Amino acid sequence: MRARGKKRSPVAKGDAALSAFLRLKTGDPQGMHRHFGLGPTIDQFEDMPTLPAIPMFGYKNEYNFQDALDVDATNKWTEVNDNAGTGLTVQDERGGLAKFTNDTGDNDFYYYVSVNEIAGLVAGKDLWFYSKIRILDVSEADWFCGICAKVSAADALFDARVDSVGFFGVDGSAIIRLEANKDSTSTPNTEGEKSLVDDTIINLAFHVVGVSQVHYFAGTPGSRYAYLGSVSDNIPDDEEMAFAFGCRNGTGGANAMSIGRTIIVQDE
Amino acid sequence: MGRPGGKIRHPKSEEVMELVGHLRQKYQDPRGTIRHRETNVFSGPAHFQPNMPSEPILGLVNTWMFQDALDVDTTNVWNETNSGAGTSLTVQDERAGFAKVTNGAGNDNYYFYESKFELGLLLANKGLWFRSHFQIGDADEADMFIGLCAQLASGNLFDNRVDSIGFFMEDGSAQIKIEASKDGAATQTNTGIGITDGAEVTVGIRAVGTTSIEFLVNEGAAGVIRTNLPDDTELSFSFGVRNGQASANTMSIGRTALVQDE
Repeated sequence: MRARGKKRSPVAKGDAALSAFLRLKTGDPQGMHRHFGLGPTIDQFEDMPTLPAIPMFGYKNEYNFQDALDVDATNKWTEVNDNAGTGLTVQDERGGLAKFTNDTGDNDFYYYVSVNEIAGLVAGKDLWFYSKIRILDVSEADWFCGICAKVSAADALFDARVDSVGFFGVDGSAIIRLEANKDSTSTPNTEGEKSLVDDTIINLAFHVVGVSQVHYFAGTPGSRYAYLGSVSDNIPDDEEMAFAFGCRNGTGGANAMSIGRTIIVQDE
Repeated sequence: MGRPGGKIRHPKSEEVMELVGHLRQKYQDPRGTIRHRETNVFSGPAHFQPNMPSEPILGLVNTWMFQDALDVDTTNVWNETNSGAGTSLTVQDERAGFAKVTNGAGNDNYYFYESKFELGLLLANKGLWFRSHFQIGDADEADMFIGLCAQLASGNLFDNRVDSIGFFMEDGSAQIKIEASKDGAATQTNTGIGITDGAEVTVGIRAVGTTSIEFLVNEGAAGVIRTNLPDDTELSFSFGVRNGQASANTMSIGRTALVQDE
């Protein structure tokens, strides 16, 4: 307990947010509780990571990338691109990832928006978002990953988001930036800076508390998530949003983005 | 509520209580699948619902359900290979959803299926868990495989597995055998566990890094393999059945989960 009148240190504040987010204790080395059956006989799942788990009674939307139906650009995704590279394609890769590769011109891009807007922020209801991305050349990219009111115009996911919550990067920097954006007024926040690494998977996650705060996290797969910071302004509280991600070349060379299993959980 | 005499709880006890409360599990759970018991006065819809182990958010999770025709799509989801024409994989009106394949009637006619993408890979210090359900129409007249297998460049799933982890059966016996195979060299063991014609069988795999694989049949230990683990090849979820005689055998496949550490 803090001494009377003292504020919590920024580090402790980050730990508290992280613990609440993952509902775990700081002693958990892998950032996830494991299930211990503790029975007398072999238990297949005794060391499988089980928490945080997908709840049955919340609203859960999951985007997996394990077969061609998962990248269907008619029924599942609105695909927007400038010049033709290779659109979203599932890879033979552990767990399942889908990848797109831009054409080779500067500012060529692909972005994807889920066909339906299934996320909405409501007072008194929380939202959790988990995703994993990989960008080939992280300092030569404009990119976004998060939830966003549907856009379909050229470059709109990079330059003209109206209502959104998510992570983004800008050409010339590998830093992960945080954003809440309502009616085209945004509060980008780079507190707790963390950078992407070329062609390396990173987990991205945020927790929206009602319509008042967004806490952002990022982590190397298999390691603890790091708390990146929070945003309390311009939270889009009156729009449904779609899962959206995309990448635009920062130079005259084909950049590529991979996307992994993504989960959105919302309180009922 | 305060503790007697103003004592505080020992930190270790505090932690254990938090964990138990968090996982909603008891120490005496023999199968590690504690059921959710709501202890308040309201008996809600989740009473007795199994809730552990649950599907993790932070692991890599792939599931194959068999509940509608998209789940057996051989353009986008499955590679289908057959010898002789029977009835290919079709979802059944059956509890929880099973899909069934019926071979042609000739001896050695078969169907086998490989997931379009190879999503499983053993990595050092990373766990892998696999669980599936199947049924075989005529258990002792079948060659069968179910598990993870590198996609075949040629041949069939019964004779030509190169890299694999899984369960198989051979014509003439209803007993399940287990296998790990790397670069065509296989370690195979007969579990001695027989299955019954048309009965549902649950199989499980738990791989500990690249050092050992534990196999389970119907929730019980069925053996451990520590050699010829395929540690450098991605593997597809694969299954199939081949007739052991000139009569159409069948295989049904149910919900299958593959979980891997990130």
